[in-house]
Amino acid sequence: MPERRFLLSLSRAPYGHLDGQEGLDLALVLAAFGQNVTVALLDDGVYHLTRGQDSSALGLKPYTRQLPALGDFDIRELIVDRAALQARGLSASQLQAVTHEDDDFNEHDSLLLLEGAALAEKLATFDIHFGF
Amino acid sequence: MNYAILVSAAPFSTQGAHNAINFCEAAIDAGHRIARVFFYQDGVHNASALACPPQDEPPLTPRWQALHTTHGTDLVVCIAAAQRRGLLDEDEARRHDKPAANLAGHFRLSGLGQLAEAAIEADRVVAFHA
Repeated sequence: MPERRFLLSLSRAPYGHLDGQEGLDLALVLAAFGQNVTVALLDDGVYHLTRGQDSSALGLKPYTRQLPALGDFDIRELIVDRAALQARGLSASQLQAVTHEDDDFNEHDSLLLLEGAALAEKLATFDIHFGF
Repeated sequence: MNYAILVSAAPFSTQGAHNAINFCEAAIDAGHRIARVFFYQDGVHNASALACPPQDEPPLTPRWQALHTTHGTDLVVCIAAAQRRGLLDEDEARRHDKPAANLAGHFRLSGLGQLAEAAIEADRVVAFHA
């Protein structure tokens, strides 16, 4: 059976809902099963990657710290909707860096900022999409 | 065709769980196979043995159980999502020193790997959200 390409999209802000945390858990398990996994941050999901988060006052686990470590799980692509960033007054400079190593241990940027038709075209390339 | 189903919707709160069971029954009637239904997020509440909806709101749990007993569908509930929300089988209740178990019959608790495996093997994956 050919390898399937999975897309895990997070569209809600972290902490307000558990969706992001449970979605990321699924992404990591699929990666552990050797699947090709891409994570996409859409709509309010872009808040997952903002710098300077502190969830301690909420009494909630700072699970968004998993995102910069996605490369350790061999998840090499993190798509961010650039239009969603702009609509929320955010810019790429306010996002945490996310990198991965290729098979020769060279480090690469995992972030892929896309918007509009290019984003839609990219999202349509995956075999299975789990939205959270 | 062999389908894997993901149910993330709680019963009654939204239409998601009704849509899911309606889809599963219709797919089987049409000759397809539902190898596994995976209950995740608030969808784990579909596996509660303690739900008592009013008489004029037909319960969903027996319809899920019928999928298992009549068609062999594997009804898997995410163990991490279930524990978080207070849904335990006898073993887990004992292990966590809780006074009761409430997982309905014909459902079983297991890990997210069961969803990954089903998604890898199925011809189609259909998700039902809140």
